Amino acid sequence: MVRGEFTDLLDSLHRAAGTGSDLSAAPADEAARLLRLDALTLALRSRRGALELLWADPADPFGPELEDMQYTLGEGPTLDAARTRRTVIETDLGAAPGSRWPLFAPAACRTPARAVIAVPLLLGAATAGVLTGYRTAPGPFPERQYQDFARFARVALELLLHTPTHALADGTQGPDLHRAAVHQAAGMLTAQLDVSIDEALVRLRAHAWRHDLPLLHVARAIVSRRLRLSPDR
Amino acid sequence: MTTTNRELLIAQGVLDLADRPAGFDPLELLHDLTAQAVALLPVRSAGITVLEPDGNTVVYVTASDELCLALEEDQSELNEGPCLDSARAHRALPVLSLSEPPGSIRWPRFAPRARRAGITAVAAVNLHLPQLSLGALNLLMAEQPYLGGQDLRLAQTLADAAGTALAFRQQLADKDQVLEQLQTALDSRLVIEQAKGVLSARLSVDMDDAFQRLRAYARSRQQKLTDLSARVTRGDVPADLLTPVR
Repeated sequence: MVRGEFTDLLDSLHRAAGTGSDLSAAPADEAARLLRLDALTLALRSRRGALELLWADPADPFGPELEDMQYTLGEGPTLDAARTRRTVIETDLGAAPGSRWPLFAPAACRTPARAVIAVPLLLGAATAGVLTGYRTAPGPFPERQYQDFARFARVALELLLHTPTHALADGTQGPDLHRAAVHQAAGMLTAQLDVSIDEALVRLRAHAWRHDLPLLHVARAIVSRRLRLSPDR
Repeated sequence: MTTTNRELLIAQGVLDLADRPAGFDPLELLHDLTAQAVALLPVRSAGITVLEPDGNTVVYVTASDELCLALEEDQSELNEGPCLDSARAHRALPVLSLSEPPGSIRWPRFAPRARRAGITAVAAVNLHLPQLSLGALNLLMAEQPYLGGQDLRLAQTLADAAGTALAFRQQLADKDQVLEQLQTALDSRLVIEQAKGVLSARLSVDMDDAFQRLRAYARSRQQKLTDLSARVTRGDVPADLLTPVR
């Protein structure tokens, strides 16, 4: 049943890609369900190597949060998949060796996620981004589920390549940049603390980590002027 | 049906030409195409000519050996010859003897030179991508029997196999370019969001106001929004961008 639905979804997405549609043609919630996952996210890699979340179900309770966690902590499956250009799987986040993701694994276990699969979107020698799936139940990803995930990743890459570049660049239309507020807040911090952008991003992440707050929560507090970071560390 | 050694060599030859790793060297592929043609067909030499986008200039890309290379250069010098015609014609050239009409008449200066080098007949098949003719695989023969109809079809199959590999490479290159633009757009977006933050803090305005100011400033001075934003995030904010609302 689900199998036929999944094949139908792939077919319709291939057709959509053939006529130039972008990722907005792909329903993240339905794709996650048909792939037997509980969250599904896609990050685009910038030329400078930053991974920015570009596609997820807006109602997803923990996928984007887990991606932000990785961004904050600087480690995790999505980052590993982009760095190594290989599929990264953890079948039990609660039992992962402490050395794998010493910060991310315990943090992730405070969300319902227990298993993760991250597949790099490769185009020749380039890495376009990463498709990451999370599941609340621990356990292996059966071969068929893995194959389906890889097939979905291929069509997602086709759709990703149709993202309107001008709209993405100036933000007037096109896909929502999930962490826009983080970059706005970093810009504010450069002016307030007289530091570079990179330093501002580090301060922002450090604050979120130290106070155990979601990064976006901190960023929005700064943008709305409810929070002001002090000049000293 | 049993498989002959020659059939096996042909199958391997086709696979060798069609199946190339990502990022392969197209020149090497075309050279291998000439080598396969010489190995599998009754021809003395083989060469590749490609038509430039101007639709008239023909360039010699590669050849199986020095003899073919020298004859290709001769044709360029004389501005006549089968390798020029085949690349311009976008279709196969049937076997033509260089000792008698129409070959000897069609290329009056080239034919004697080729015969002196031992080449007595020529043929060519088209080298193309799905939507685009690239040029020709030229086949030079030194003795009878010359290429038959089946031989020419095999030559075309070899050229098509190489064309498939080239088409895949082209497709990948096109997508690679699209990806590069997309990734550059993302970097632009990040720096624009950051610049909005800088202006928002410096002017005590909200993000929308900050963006409108950035955009208006860039437009009025015909600067790229990305370049202006990069400048702003480095702390180098133009003074008139900081003056209170117009």
